[in-house]
Amino acid sequence: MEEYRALFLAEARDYLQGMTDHLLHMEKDPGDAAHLTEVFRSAHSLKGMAGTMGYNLISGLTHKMETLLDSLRGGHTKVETEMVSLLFEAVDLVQLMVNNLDRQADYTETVLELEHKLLAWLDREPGLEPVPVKQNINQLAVKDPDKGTSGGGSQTFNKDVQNFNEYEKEMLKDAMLKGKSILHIHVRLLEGSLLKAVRAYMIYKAVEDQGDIIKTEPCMPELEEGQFERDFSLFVVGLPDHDELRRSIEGISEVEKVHVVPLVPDWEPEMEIAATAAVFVSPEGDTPAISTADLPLEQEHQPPSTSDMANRLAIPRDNKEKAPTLARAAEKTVRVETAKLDILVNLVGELVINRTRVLELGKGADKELLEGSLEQLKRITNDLQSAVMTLRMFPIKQVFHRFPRMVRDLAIGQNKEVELVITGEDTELDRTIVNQVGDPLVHLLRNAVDHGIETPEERKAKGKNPAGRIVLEAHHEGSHVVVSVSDDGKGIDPEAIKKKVLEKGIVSSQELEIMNGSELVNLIFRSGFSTSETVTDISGRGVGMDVVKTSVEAINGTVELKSEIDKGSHFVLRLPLTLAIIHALMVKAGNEIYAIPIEAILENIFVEPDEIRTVNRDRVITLREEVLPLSSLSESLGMGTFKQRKMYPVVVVRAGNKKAGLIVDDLLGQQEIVIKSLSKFVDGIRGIAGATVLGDGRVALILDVATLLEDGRVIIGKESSHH
Amino acid sequence: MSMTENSGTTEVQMVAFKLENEEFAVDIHQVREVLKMTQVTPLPQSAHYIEGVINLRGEVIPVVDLRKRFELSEEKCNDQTRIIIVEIMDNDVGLIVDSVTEVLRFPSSAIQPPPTRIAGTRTDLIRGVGKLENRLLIVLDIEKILSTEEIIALDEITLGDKVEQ
Repeated sequence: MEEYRALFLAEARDYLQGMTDHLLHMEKDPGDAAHLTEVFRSAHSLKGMAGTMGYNLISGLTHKMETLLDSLRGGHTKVETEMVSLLFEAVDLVQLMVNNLDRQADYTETVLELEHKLLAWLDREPGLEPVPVKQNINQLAVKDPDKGTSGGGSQTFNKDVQNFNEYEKEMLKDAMLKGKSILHIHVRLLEGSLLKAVRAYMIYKAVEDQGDIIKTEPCMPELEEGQFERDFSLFVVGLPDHDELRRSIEGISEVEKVHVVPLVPDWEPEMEIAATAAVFVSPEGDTPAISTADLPLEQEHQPPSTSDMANRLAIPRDNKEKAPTLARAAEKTVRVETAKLDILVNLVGELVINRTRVLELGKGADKELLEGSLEQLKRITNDLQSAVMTLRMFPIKQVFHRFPRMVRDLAIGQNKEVELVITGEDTELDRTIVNQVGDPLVHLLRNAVDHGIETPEERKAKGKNPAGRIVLEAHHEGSHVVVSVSDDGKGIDPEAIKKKVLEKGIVSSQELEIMNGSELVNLIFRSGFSTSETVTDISGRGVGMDVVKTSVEAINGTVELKSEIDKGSHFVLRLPLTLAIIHALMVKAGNEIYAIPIEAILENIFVEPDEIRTVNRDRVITLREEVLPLSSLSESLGMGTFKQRKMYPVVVVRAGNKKAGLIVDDLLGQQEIVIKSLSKFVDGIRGIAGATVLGDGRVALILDVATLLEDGRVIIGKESSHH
Repeated sequence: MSMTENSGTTEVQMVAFKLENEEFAVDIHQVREVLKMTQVTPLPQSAHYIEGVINLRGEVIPVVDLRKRFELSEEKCNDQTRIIIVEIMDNDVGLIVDSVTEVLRFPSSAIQPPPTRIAGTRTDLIRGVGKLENRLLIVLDIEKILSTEEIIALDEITLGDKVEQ
């Protein structure tokens, strides 16, 4: 059961996400029936799954959603913001229940209340008859041949079929398409039957010999353990003669009654058409070239709405991008445990280390053969490395997908009109980064809606489109991914920032004077800064941009802001593709080797002793007319003392706007290193980001330049404002 | 402490090691493996008894010098020196000891709780005392010893003559 539950959780989340996405589209473009179809489909699948798992509250609620959606499909109800909000409310509630599967009962009241609201929406439409509940796709009605004897059985059967999971429904549909018969065999055992499980098994066997059993109710394990009162059902495919079947079952002792009912499909094939049509809609917007006659089964039961649907599909589309997204892309992905991936990454890391080692050994030998095979080894490991790294890569979509809903809700809450445009959502980056980039983006988007976009009135007054526009964009740039958030709102006023930072004492007025516009605007990333005049519910709690900056820097990224008054603000996040392997400069200091991440390095220089001056007991040099303080790396780490030499190799590093020169003993060159975290036991050492294993098996520590410069152990200078 | 049912009598297995002239023991279930001394990369800004980190098949593991932990004089490592990899709180940590003597089996009756109220002994850091013929092994509570920042001197965790009346 546990594994099904995990599967249910995963799939339920997918369906909920699907509903959210398509609800948003549907709201934006009510004329496009395909989105409605997708919402309906997701709700329906979710209902089925929840039913199978026995989560009746979820299946009940999704059922009511379906009813409302169905009425939309039939054209009885119109798409309205309020109604979409109601549906969103339902999605949220289902999400809540999915997240708390063990506490379903707690939600009973809330669910009933919401169900009531959903149905009330239907009643509220005057002059329109409420749409009967049973108009669901895939739903099979029972045509009972010997009426009367079943005594209201068809209702129960309807419910049974409703509980079929997707797979079972597929089998049913398949059987129907192939013209095979489907029988529902209902068996009642004698009262007081002692060997219920054995009887059930015997009946199961007898039926199995003649046809394919696709489902039992209760499920097989329960039947085998006798966990049922007196009744159970079998659904069988491919049995031509049910009289013979009945007789053979009646021949088994302790059977009181056998009821064999053929199931006759009464389902509406329109969903299939819609889904298929969506795939074939040509970008030009031609009427989909699909004849409904191609589909079997529909002649008799062709629902009135089919032609309706086809008509709506024929509406020319202006948005050419839409068609492919509608085709419900079977997820071409596998869910893999991150832990397993980590092991793989670790192994490859080792392989890379060994490669380096073998290459080093090979330097001594002059055999061509050795070199050849080494070259091969190099190629393989490179390939393997990139293949494995892609396993950890996930499209940034996973973060982006929740934003349309969020922006919609925020905008409605503030009576603003905001259009969110997302591009490059397929850009892939490391899972860890995908997971961690969400929060800063939430902050930025909230800020854009809150403080960036003006109210429609203000915008009109400024001669802008009353609807604001926020563009969320991602793309690759070398070994980085660039994510930007731009709005066309009021922008940031450098003068307001000046006032604020002086007020809060973040920067002195002398410092302010030498700052240019861009530097001024970027002051909003300083901690303790918040430009919001009115503290709203969402942002402006005094923690703001500095949190964004900190969390982006935590994943080795940078954030920058460009802003122009009344034109808008443009935030640019640069993120590394992965955190597992980085480029680093290896340096020697004392007896140890350290790795300095390339991103933190500005340049390497060699300094002669007579270039070094002493200012306030600090060693400094003048580098291109700028004063650069020098610190010995060993000394700063507390691992040794500064030694006089004829020539000092210096690595110029920076973090934020801080800059420092680190004197090392030797520069060993650049290489790719696999980052290993330090054990929790010795975690959190300031100045050390982690460790890596060198070609000879030794451990080298990776410097964390940001914390090293923060602690004051390294003398720092400020990066020049003009370069 | 691990107990093995063995035809009525319970038995525990311990890895015995030496520091200075004292014999100590850790529960074998805590021990992952025992290594010969290897190259240790020192860690800046950490407690003086943390010797540094080592590479154990691609994993970076911190090692603690138990001599330094118990304020003993520094000793050059020799071919007897061992690193015992123990698992504490889901982390692997290496312990540098003077030597690892053997794996001992005790009847559980031979291990007694640490004697209470002995002046100058931190019995809270001791899980028990194992008596085997004329040997006396102190079973350390490694977790406690490594999770406290307090200075612990060797004679605080040994019993010396105190138990033999």
